[in-house]
Amino acid sequence: VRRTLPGLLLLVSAASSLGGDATHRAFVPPKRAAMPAVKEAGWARNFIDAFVLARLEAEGLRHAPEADRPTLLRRLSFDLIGLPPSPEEVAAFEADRSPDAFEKQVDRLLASQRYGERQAQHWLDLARYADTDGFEFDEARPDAWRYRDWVVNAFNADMPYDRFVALQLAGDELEPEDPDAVVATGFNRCYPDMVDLNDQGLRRQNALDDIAETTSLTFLGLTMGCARCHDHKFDPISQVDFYRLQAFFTPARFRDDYPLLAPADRAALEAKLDAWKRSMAEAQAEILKLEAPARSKVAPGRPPGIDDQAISAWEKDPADRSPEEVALVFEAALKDKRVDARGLLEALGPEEKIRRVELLAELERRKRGRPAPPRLARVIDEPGPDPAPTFLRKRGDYYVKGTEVRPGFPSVLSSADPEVRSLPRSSGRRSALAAWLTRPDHPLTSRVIVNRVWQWHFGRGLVATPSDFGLMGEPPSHPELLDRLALELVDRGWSLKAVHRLIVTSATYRQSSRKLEAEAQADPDNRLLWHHARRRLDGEAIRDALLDVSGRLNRSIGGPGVFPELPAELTRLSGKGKAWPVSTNAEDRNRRSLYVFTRRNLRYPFFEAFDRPDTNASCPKRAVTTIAPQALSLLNGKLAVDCAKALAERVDREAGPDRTSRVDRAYRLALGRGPDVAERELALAFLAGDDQVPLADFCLSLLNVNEFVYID
Amino acid sequence: MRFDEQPSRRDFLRQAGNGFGSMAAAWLLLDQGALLADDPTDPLSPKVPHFPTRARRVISLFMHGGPSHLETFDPKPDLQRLAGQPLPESFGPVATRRKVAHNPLLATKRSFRQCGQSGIAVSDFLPHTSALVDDLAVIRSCWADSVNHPQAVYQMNTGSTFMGRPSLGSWVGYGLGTENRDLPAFVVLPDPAGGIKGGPPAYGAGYLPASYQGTVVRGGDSPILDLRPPEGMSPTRQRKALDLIGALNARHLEARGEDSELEARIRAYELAYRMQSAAPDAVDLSGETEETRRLYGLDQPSTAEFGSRCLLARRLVERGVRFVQLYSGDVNGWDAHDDVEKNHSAMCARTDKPVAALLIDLKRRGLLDDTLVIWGGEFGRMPMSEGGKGRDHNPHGFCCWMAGAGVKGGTVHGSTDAVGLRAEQDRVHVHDLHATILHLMGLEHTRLTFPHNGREERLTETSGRVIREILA
Repeated sequence: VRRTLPGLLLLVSAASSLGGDATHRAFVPPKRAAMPAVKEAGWARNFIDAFVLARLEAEGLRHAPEADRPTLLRRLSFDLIGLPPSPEEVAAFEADRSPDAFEKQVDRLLASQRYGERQAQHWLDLARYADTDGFEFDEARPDAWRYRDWVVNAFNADMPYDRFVALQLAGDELEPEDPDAVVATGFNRCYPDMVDLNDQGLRRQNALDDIAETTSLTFLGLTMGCARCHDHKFDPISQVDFYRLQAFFTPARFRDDYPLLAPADRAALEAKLDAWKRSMAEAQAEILKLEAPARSKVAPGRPPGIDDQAISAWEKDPADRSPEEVALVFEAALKDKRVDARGLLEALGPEEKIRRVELLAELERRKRGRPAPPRLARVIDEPGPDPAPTFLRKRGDYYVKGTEVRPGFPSVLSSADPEVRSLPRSSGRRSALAAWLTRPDHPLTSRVIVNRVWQWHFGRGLVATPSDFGLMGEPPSHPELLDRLALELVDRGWSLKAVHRLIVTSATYRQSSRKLEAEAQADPDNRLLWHHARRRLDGEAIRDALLDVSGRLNRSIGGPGVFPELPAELTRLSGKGKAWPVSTNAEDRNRRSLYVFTRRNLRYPFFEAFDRPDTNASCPKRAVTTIAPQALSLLNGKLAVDCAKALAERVDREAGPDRTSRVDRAYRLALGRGPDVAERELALAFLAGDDQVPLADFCLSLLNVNEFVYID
Repeated sequence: MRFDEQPSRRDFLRQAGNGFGSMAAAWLLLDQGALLADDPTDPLSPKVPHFPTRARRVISLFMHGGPSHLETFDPKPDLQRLAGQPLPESFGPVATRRKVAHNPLLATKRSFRQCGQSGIAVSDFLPHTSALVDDLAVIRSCWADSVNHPQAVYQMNTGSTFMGRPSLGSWVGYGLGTENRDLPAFVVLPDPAGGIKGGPPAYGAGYLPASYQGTVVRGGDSPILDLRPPEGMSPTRQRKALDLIGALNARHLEARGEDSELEARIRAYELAYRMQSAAPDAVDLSGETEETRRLYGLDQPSTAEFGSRCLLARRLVERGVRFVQLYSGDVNGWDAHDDVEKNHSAMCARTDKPVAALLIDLKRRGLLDDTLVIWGGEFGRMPMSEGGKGRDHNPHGFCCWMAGAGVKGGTVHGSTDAVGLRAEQDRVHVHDLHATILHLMGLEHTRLTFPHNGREERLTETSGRVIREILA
C-alpha cells in the first residue's frame, strides 16, 4: 500500500490559497525558523540535517545510511570539480582515519581550479552562453569567451554572490576603471542574434526582450517573459513590470569592441596609434609625391570608382591632407585599374625607381611597427548619462508603441521607485537594479541561488522549478531549510563556497543512494531526501572523465574555444570545415568540455546526444534522457574509442602484464574502486578468451557501463 | 520459464547477468513491443493520440529557399495582364527583403492547365505532380511573418521566427512516440549539396528533451552518426564487449534494486546494437526493383539524387519512422532572386518526378492511407520582379499542399489577391498549417504543451486553427 504525504499536499494547497498577492512565500524575505526537534539528534551534522530529518520523522520515514568512502569521494569530486577522483586520491581518503577526513577532501576540492570550471558550466546554461550568433550566418563571437573565463575566475575566487550579480548587470557602471568588471556584463550579450535583420531597431528590441527575460529568470527566479505580450496569467506581474525591468537596460550600448585597457593605458595606446598613423602617412605621402608625375602621365585625373571620401581626399592639396586622407589617397592610387605596375615603372626615371624601392621598403618597415591592438570584449556600456525614453510595446509588438515607462522593480516585490543616480558616462540605471537585487533582505536573490546550488548537488532543488519561484512554480519541499540556507549565504558574506561546504558536509548529502523499500513506496521522487538520488553525468562531465581516466585530459585553463575533431559527415555539412576548424594543436582537442566552442548551429554531437541544452534560452535544469545514440557514441565514436585505447596503454604501463593487476588497475582508474570477486572473474574470462581480446576492448567496456556515467 | 509466461524485466536481467551470449539470447525471447510500450522512462515509447485518426506518419518535403507559388500552383491571369507595370497603389506598402516593392510586375512564362477530375490548375513545370492533383489539397492562401530565410525556415518548422523552439517533427515525436525503436523517430534527409539557412535548429528539439530532435540520416553504410563500430572491431568482438557491458550492468543493477533509468540504459545498448543492422538495411536501395528505381527517376541524372531520398523516405515510413523530412535545395535552393524561370525549371526538374513517384508508390503499397505528405517551402515569391527576371521573398501569400491520410484530395483552399501578393480569402497562417497537421496526427494543438520557463509552450504559440475544409 502506498502511503501518501499529507504534509506535502498541505503545503501545495497553502501556497495556492495565497492567491496572486505579495504574501506569496517567495515574495517575503526569508525568515529564520527555530531548529526543529528531532528524535535521532545524533545523526544531524548541521542544520540541514535537522530540517530534513524532522520532515522524515514526521512522515515516519527513515534515512539511508552513509555511503561508503569511494562512493562518497566520487560523488563529491564530480559535484565540485566535475572530474572523478584518481585512484590515489581514493586510497588516501580511505586511509585517512582522522575525524575530519571528509572535510579535508571538501576543502581540497573547493580550492581546486577545476571547481570554477565545473560551476561555470552550470552558470553558462543559465546565461544561454554560446560562441556564435546563430541564425543564417552563425558568425563566431571572437571575444565571447572572455565572459566565460570571467565566470570561471569568479567562482574560483569565491567572489561574493552579490558582487557576482552586480558586476554582470552593471560592471561598466560600478567599476569603469576595471576592464575585468566590464567583461562581466558579457552576461547580457549571450542572446541569439539575427545580425542582418532588415530592421535593426527590431533586432535591438529582440535583444532587450531577451535580456529582460533572462535577468528575471536567472536572478529573480521569475518567469517574466510572458509579460512581454500581456499581464502574467498566474503571477502578479504586469506587462508594465516587464517593460519597467527592460528600461534598466534600454540605455545600454551593445559593444563587441570594448578595449580591455585601463583608462590610462587606453589614452597611451591611442597616442601611440596616432603617432603610428602619422608616420605611415608620411611614408605614403613621400611615395605619392614621387609617383605623381608618372601617374599623371599614365592615367591623368583621379581613379574611377572611388567613394566620396576618397574623392574629397584626392582633390585636396597634398599638404592639407590628414593622415587618414593620405591613407585613402594612397589606397586609391594603389588600386587604380588604369595603371599597371610595368607602365608605372616605365614612366619613372632610373633614380626614381631606386628611390621608390627604398620608400616602399620603409613603408613596409613602418607598417610592421603598428602598435598591438588592444584585446577586445563583448560587453554593454552606455554612451552617456541621458538615456532615450523606453516604451511599452503593445502585445509585445515592436511596431505598436505604448506608453512611456520608467525603470522600476516588479511591483509585487517593491513599491518604491529605484534610486537612479546618473554617472558621468552612464545613466546609473543598472547599478540601481544591481543594488536592489543584492539587498541582504531581498526575498528572491539569495533563495534562488542557494536553491540552484542545492540542485547542482542533489539533481533537484528544494524548489523543483529553479527559475520559477512564482505561484506556478513548485512550492519548496523544505521551506524553512531554504530560508535558512538563504540567510546563511548572506551571513557568510554571500560566499557560495560556504554554501557548498554546508551542503556537502551534511549527513543528508552523505547518504547512500541505495533504495529503502518503504520509503521508495511512500516518496518515490525522494522529495523528502531519504536517500541520495542517483544521477547521470552530463555529456561534458562524461567527456572530461573519458579524457581524464585515460590520462589525456589537457588541464590548461581559459582562452578561446577549442575544436575537437568532428565526424567527417558533419564537417562536410558545415561549410567545408569553416564552421568547425578542428584545433591544429592536438593537445587542444583534449581540453575540458567547458572550452569546446559553442556553435549555435552545430552542437558538438557528443554533448548533443547527452542532453546539452541548445543555448538559445536560459536553461535552469537539463533534461536527462536515455537514448540509443548515446550508446552509439560511447561504443563507436572516435572520442570513446581513442580514450579506451589510451586507457589500455595506461593500464599496461601502470599495472604490467599480470591480468589480475590489469583488471584491478582499470577498475580503479575508470570507476574509482577495485572489482569484486565476480567482476574480476568476468573480466579475466573476457581477457583470456580463446581469441585473446585486446585490453582496449575491456577498457572500452568499462567506459560504457552504467557505473561510469552514473554517480551514486 | 513456462511457455505462457511473459519474461519479466527482472528475469531478463538475471539471465543477462549469467554470462556472455545469454544477453543476446534473452533479447530474442522478449517481444520488443511488450518491453517498450508505454514506458515512462522511454521518452519515445508509443503514446495514444488525443483522438483516433488515420495518419500515423508524416513525410515533409521542404523546398528550401521558397518556391514560387506563381510558377507552380497559383495561376494569376491579372499578373499576366499587368506585367511590366508597377504594383497598383491600392495594394499599399509591402514589406520585402530586397526593396522590390516598386519594381514592375513580372509575368510568369509558365502556362497553367486544369488537371485531373478536380480540374485544379497546375503549371507545366510540374507534369508529374499535376497528374496526381486529385490526391492533393492545395492551399493557396498561406502566409507567414518574416521576409528573411532563417526566420521563415524556423517559423515553418517550429512556429516561431526565433531560434531554439521545438520543430514540428519533435512535437509529433513528443506527442506520439515512435513505432520502431530500431530507427530514430524523426529523421531528416538534408540535401547533400549543403545545409539550410538557419541550420540544424530548424529540426532541433528546442526546449523539449534532446531525444525528440531530428536525426540526420544519409545513404551508404554509415547512415547515422557513430553507427559503425570502429575500424578493425569485428562484429564478434563488439558483441563480446556488449555482453560484458550487459553482464556488468546487470550486476550493478542487481546490487541497487529497481531503477528504471538504469534499466532504460541497459536497453539503449541493445537498441543501439540492433540499429547497427537496421539502419543500413533501411537505407540500402539495392533490393528495390528496376521498375521502382525508374519510377523515382534513379536512372536519370537530374532526378537520381532527390529520387533516392524520396525512395529512402518511403522505406523509412514503411519501417515505422514517425516523421521524415526531406530538404530540396542547397543553401540557396529555390531562392530565385536572379532568374525564377531558370532556377525553378532546374529545381522542378529535379523534384517533380520523384515527388510524384513517392505518392504513387505510397499509394500502391497502401501506405498513403496512414501517411501524411506535405509539400512546401518557407515562403513564396513576389509578383514584382527583381532585376528583371527574378522574384524576391514573399511571406504574405504563398502555397503548399498536403496529401494522404485524412486529407481531402482534389481540393483547393483559399486564394491570394489578384496578383498573388497576399493571401486574401481563407487565409492560412503557419500556425493554422501546424494545427492542421497535428490534428491529422490525432493531436489537439492546444493540448500538446510543454512547460518551459513559466509558460505552457506549444507549437502554435497563442493561435492556430484547424483547416477543416481540407479534411477528408
